[in-house]
Amino acid sequence: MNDEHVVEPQEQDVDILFFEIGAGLFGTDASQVLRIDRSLPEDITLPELGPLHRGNRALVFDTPEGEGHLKVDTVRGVRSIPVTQLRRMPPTAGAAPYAVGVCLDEAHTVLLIDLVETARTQGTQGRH
Amino acid sequence: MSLDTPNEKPASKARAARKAPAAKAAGTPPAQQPAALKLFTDTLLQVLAGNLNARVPRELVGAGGDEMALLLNQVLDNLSASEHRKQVAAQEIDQALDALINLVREGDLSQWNTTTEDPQLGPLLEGFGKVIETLRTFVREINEAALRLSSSANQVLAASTQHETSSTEQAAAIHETTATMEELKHASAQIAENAGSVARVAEETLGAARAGRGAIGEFIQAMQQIRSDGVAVADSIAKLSKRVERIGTVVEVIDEIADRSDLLALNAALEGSRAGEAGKGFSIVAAEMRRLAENVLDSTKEIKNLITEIREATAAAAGAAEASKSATESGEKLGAVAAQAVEGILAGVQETSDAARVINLATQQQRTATEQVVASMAEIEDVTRQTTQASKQATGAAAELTQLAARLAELIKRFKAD
Amino acid sequence: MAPDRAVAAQARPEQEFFCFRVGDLRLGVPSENVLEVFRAGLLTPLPRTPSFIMGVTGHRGEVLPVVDLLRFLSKGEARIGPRTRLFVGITGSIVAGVVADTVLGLRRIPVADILPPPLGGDAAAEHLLGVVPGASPQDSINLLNFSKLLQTARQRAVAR
Repeated sequence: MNDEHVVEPQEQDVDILFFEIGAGLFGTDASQVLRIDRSLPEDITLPELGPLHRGNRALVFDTPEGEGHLKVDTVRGVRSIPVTQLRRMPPTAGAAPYAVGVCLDEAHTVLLIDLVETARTQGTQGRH
Repeated sequence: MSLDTPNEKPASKARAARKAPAAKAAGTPPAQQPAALKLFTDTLLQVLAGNLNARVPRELVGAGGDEMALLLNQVLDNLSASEHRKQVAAQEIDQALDALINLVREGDLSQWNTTTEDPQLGPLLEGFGKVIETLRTFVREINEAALRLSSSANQVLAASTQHETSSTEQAAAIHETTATMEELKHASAQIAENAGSVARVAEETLGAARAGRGAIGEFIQAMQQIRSDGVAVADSIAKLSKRVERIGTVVEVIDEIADRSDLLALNAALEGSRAGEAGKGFSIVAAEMRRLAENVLDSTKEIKNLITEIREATAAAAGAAEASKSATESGEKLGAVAAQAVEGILAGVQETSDAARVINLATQQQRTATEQVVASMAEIEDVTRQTTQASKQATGAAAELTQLAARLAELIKRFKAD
Repeated sequence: MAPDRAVAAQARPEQEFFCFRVGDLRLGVPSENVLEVFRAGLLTPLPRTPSFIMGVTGHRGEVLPVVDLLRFLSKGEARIGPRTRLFVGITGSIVAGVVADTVLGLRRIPVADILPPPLGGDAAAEHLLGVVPGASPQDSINLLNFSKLLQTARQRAVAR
């Protein structure tokens, strides 16, 4: 349960920012997000998560190399989620490194994305 | 010409008559005459020879004979004058005769203007003139009349010809009319027959239509019954449908429970399996439970299939009921329309029947009338034929008359009146 | 029936298999490798996983990767429907959900009845313990060496 990326030890709840790419709903640690911006063509895209509809929003986050911009369709908002509902990605799944965990939300499981990892996996791409 | 001869004859007779004494005188041997007497004799011989101008020369005669000579000369003078008058009269008679001959030969009345001074001939010629004048008047009038006659005859001919043509045409027309009337007679006979058939058919139709009216009434009643039955059926179907839906819901619940039971039993069996020998009996129960759950699931599956079938069937039945309802409604409407139509047909057929009867009667009357007309036409045709014959004769006569008038006019033209 | 079977079990060594059907395959997994069976709920697809990983699903507070054996054995492609089951397969520290169209049940199979996997078979044959012939070829059950299968699966997934 000690997730170094997602869980902050002192707090019972974690703020998760939910966003959509295509038909899929995803979450990310809201503290990673500096701001939400209009997207630009050179922003980072994650086609593995599904095709973007319009992709006119970008999640701006900080990386050691500078700001990263992930292109998304819609930002659904930030919700406080109890840490007990968050799980690390089982290694057996062999998923992409930025797919760090899952938020168990009743019937749904929402994939949690590490924004910094997205910049790392697509180092040659996107704004910094 | 023939008149020449009488002109000649009196002359020769006269001469012969005059000669005879001369010959008698000559034949008689003259007595011894004195010279003076000879003078008398010669003169008389000369006169007898035709010389009326011969006179006894008184100077030669001497005194004894002078008085005698004078007297003889006076006789001779008288004779000469008389002879001269005779000659003039003869000439005038010749002229008159010539004029008459000319008149007769040439028909020329215009040339008559012979006059005479002879008191004896005068009245004769005057009489002739009067006669000729009368003739002239006649000729003029005849000429005029001939011209008028010719013109009238022409008119008569034209009229007669026209009449003949008209009469012929009339005959043709009458013939045609007769033929048409014959046809009409046949046609009206046919019409009468047809009208009879129509009346019969109309009678039959009337019967059929009455039967139809009854049948339609029954049909409408049946339709109303079907519709009310159909409404009941639709209600039942709706209720059934609701119940089936309810059953479906219940079955879903049963299904869910059975599925959960299946899972529970399965997991229980797995638990039992892990418990080793201790869990073995439990496993068997769990397996049995599972089997039951599966049975339930199989049953619910069947029920679901049945429900689906019932649903389809009820939907079809509802559709059919709806269709039946609208069909019966339209059936009722159609029935009403048909009833109305049959009423119309009944009325129409009744009228037709009546009309056909009237037509039958009328055509029979017409046939009688037509037959009468045909008979009349035959008579007229006969008369017309006669008329045509008569007018042909009239035309022939008129033609002849025209020819005669023309001939007359031609003849009259030979007489010149002016 | 049951007492007879118990007697028979003592007489001959048996092994218990969790038997199920997926696609056209009738498979058996040693019952000790199966923890639980549950209804397949919503799956969350994952990026860049091997094709036999259909995604993850949450179950009893755990996140399970979901394995499609049809894809893994190159026998087609599983589909998730309302009656689709997932069983929790385990070997050592590896836990995964496995797709099953229908669970046939737990079968105790006499070891003597298990025939060796056919020689020169396809790639699937390497993960077979043996085959239990049925009344007809369709009724025969392929018994999986599930521990080996899950280890291979993890290796394939993580090696990438």
